[in-house]
Amino acid sequence: MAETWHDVTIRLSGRVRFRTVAEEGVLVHLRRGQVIVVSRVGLVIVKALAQGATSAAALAELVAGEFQVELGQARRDVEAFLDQLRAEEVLEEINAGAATARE
Amino acid sequence: MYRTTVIRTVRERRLLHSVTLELTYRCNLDCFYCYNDRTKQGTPLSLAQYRTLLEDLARMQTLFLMLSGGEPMVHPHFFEIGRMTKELGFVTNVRTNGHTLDPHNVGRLLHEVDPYMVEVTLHGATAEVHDRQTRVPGSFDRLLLHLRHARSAGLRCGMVITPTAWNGHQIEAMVALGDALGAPVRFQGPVGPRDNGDTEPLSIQPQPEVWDRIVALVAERRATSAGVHLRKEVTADAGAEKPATCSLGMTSIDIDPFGNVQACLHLQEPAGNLHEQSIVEIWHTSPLFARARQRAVDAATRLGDAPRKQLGAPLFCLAVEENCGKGRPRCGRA
Repeated sequence: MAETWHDVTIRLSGRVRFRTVAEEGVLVHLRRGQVIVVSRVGLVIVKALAQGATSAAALAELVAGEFQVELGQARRDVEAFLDQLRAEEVLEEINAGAATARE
Repeated sequence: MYRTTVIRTVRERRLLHSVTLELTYRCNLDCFYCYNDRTKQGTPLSLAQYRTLLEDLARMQTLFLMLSGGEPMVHPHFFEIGRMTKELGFVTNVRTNGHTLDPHNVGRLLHEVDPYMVEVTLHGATAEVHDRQTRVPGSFDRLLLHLRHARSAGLRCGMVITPTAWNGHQIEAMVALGDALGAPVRFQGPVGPRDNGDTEPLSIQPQPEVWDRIVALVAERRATSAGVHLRKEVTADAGAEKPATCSLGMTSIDIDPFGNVQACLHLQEPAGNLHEQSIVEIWHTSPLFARARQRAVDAATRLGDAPRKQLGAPLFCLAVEENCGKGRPRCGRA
């Protein structure tokens, strides 16, 4: 598992389902049987992760643009959020060299 | 947070959060107390109609789907529909009798449908009792064989038990069996009339003491966090909602094999039919859901604070009350 988000390509795990409920997101991890609720900002990130492989840097740019926050702050917030998602086994990290995915 | 925040939002904004699809009334068992009205007529939904329905539901942000029946796995397009639910991002549960849950189908389920849970029906702790209720010899042994394989293959499984006069003496043994198989047990009931009002199933109501034992067992297991559940009757109302006997008409619907959209599995009045209208139109325009909700509120008012009790069970279900009042003679499926 990568220790930082530099040069890591990620996407939403295939074992996770999610829906938008009003301004929040509800994620269900099929194997862990866990429900995770994310905020409006988290939902933007989850949707981007569900659309395909991306990076923390790209997500930070997305959040900075969407919510009008300074890029450095967005990067710190996104990485903290990704740390949480990683701990919940919600992410697949794609090994750039071997192009394999793991949770 | 899900229960306190999300569910409240879902209810306040009346979002369609959960849908049960009764794919077929056909079944490969012949359970004595089956509630389905197998004489119900209609044109089954086509595969194309299921795709339209599921795409609409995905756009409506419906999260939970239950594939049910009859026996859903005997539907000719069960796996095609299951694959669609996966592609469209639903959390899918399958309620099955387990009779066709063989290793081949377990593999297909895991790979093609990827359900959150498969819930099977357990009728007894021995073949003698289980097969008496299913009226198919060998169904108990087959269920256990299938469940053991399904669990070892990684399928999350649960079991649902309806207490009857025939299995009431095996309640504790059935719970122990669930523990041994790694499949948490849930009780449902009471045994009610069929959805067409046929009261024949009432002849195998359990003795009241059976429900007393179940309530005690559930309380004991809850204290030790072990997995046995009695379906909760009264839901939510954490905010300004009026008390109701169930969440009827609020956030979930049932769709029968012929496209009838109902407020609940057992209340047969349709809000509309998918052969004529889209689910979006039915959910947003039919007055049936508000009427159904009002019925649940009125029932709670009528029953007051007294402990719920219906046909011996510590529950109250509007549909059981309604079906008891239909006054139909027995259909003679002895």
